[in-house]
Amino acid sequence: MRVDDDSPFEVQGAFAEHGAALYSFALNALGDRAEAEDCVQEAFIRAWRSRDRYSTSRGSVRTWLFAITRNLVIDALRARARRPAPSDPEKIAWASEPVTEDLLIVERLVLYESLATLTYEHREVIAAVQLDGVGYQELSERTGIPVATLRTRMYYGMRSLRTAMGGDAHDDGNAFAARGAHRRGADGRPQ
Amino acid sequence: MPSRRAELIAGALTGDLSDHERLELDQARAADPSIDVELAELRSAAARLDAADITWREEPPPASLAERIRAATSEAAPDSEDEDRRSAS
Repeated sequence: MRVDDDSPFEVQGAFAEHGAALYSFALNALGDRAEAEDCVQEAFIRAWRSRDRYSTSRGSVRTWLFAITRNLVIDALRARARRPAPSDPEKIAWASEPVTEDLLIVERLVLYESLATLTYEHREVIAAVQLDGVGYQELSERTGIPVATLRTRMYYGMRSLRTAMGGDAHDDGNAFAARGAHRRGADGRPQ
Repeated sequence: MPSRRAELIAGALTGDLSDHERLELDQARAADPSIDVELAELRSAAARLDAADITWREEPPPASLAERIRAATSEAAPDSEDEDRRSAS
């Protein structure tokens, strides 16, 4: 079910369509399942509470939900940075560093969000080959997918990723495109 | 053929072409200069991934999350409706 059109915001439909991508972004950005779940839950609650003020003219539901989730992720990272030390060793080390002041952290958030917006098939090959250094042949043996198909997925996946990292439309890319309007209100709208 | 073009560019992107494929790509580049442009763009994107030194964890959201959200938005209904009305007035 699509909820991006002129239909009103509906929580369950929106979660079915965008929940996995939002959770993937939050999980990778925070490195912690419980915190990621809390961020996504809070994002949907905030969206639901602001649903009457939401207008499709401001962008898609996906863009809106990513904007809210991004702010919550940044808040969670800031809160973590104020604490003495992460208690959970699963939490990635960089996430306890100062947040938006650190360009590398901002860049990682851009990349995690961009990767989260890709299809699973595109992300799978990019994560394995580009991030983990696995060869196409090895990945083909692991997955049973022909090398030619993996390469084609890499090509289209990298094109989508490039758009997501720097484009201006979230449906074809990523909400971090609007990097100039980094700080938004609690409901995801520019302040 | 577009898919072959895609395959060759993806192979070149990761330095994974055979000698024969490299020759094939060189011939294609000579006939289609847009290949070099696109390869440079994708290499730039790949370089950003490399420089950020990230890994990716692929996990679906737990089944309980949808239920938590459903419960939270159902329970929150009366209060938030009032709140919306107050802020609107």
